Amino acid sequence: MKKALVIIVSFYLLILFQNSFLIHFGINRFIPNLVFIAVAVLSFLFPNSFVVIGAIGGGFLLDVFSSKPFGFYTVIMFCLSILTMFILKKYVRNPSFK
Amino acid sequence: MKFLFKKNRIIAFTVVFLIIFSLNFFNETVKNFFYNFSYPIQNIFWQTGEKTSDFFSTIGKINNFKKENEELLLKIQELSRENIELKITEKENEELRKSLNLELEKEFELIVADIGGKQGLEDSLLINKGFKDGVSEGMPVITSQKFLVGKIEKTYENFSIIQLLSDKKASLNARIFEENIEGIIKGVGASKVVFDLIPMDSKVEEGDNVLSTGLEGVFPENLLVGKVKNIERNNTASFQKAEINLAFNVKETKTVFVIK
Repeated sequence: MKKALVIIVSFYLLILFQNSFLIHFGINRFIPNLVFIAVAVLSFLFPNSFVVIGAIGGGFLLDVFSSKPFGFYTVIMFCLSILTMFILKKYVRNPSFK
Repeated sequence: MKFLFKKNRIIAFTVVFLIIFSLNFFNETVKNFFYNFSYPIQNIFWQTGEKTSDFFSTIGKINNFKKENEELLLKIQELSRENIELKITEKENEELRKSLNLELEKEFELIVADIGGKQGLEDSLLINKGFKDGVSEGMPVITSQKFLVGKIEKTYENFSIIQLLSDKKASLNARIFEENIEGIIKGVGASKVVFDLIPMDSKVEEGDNVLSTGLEGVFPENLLVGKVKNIERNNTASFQKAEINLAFNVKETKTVFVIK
């Protein structure tokens, strides 16, 4: 739970960073969705429940800071984290992954 | 993965999702609450981003400074001459107005607001004035140079969301100042805007200024939207289309004005 909370707080700062800082540096007016990338990477590296909780928290915060209805990004982030873990479990064979 | 399919976990996730979906009924309160305590951090990020971006763009442009300086000096001379001519015209105009007993143009009633950040990755901006300060949905937003920014899309107690002209839902009537050709400005997303429905026989050139006409009843007339960038002429189409370089640059703007 503590790890999930750390992830959610990091996502919160990441969203503020991308919405207020990164927009000054958009390459070709493109700004990457850092939370999306972070959820995919974390789900890949740590396929645990705290990452799923973190993904839901991150999705919820993305909903807060976007014009989409609540639940839009929450569902996307949840599905992304589950899908990444599913692919990792079913199709990736690497001795470093337990 | 197994941890997800335990019965109590499934129930917990379902409850969490239901709570999140139900927040749509309290959308404004929840968002206002988050914006309220996030705004100081967003403001710091915005200012730091602005300064850092300025620093890097200055480094990038350092080689062009001499050439730019010479060009600017020439332009200053040109503008000074134009300024004198305009002052003479203004004086004449004033005298004519007085003699015709015309009402002076109404000044805009403005609400000053600071930009706090973009809303997500969409073409909308968050400002620190809400309905508590008199901002309401549909109000036009301009910069200090009278460049058109967009209109208020959503208001919260202390914050509002500006729908930028580049938003896919945004459109307004506009005209090309040099040729007096009317058309419609449409947002296409990703900070891009097109000037559509320009008659095929109209002569549009790159660099032409595009102004608002105020015909759609939202924006005041004669506000600068931007300059024509790329013109798209297709023989099979009945209208021309042009990409517009917006006058308003989000990277260089800190303060905007909401017109009451």
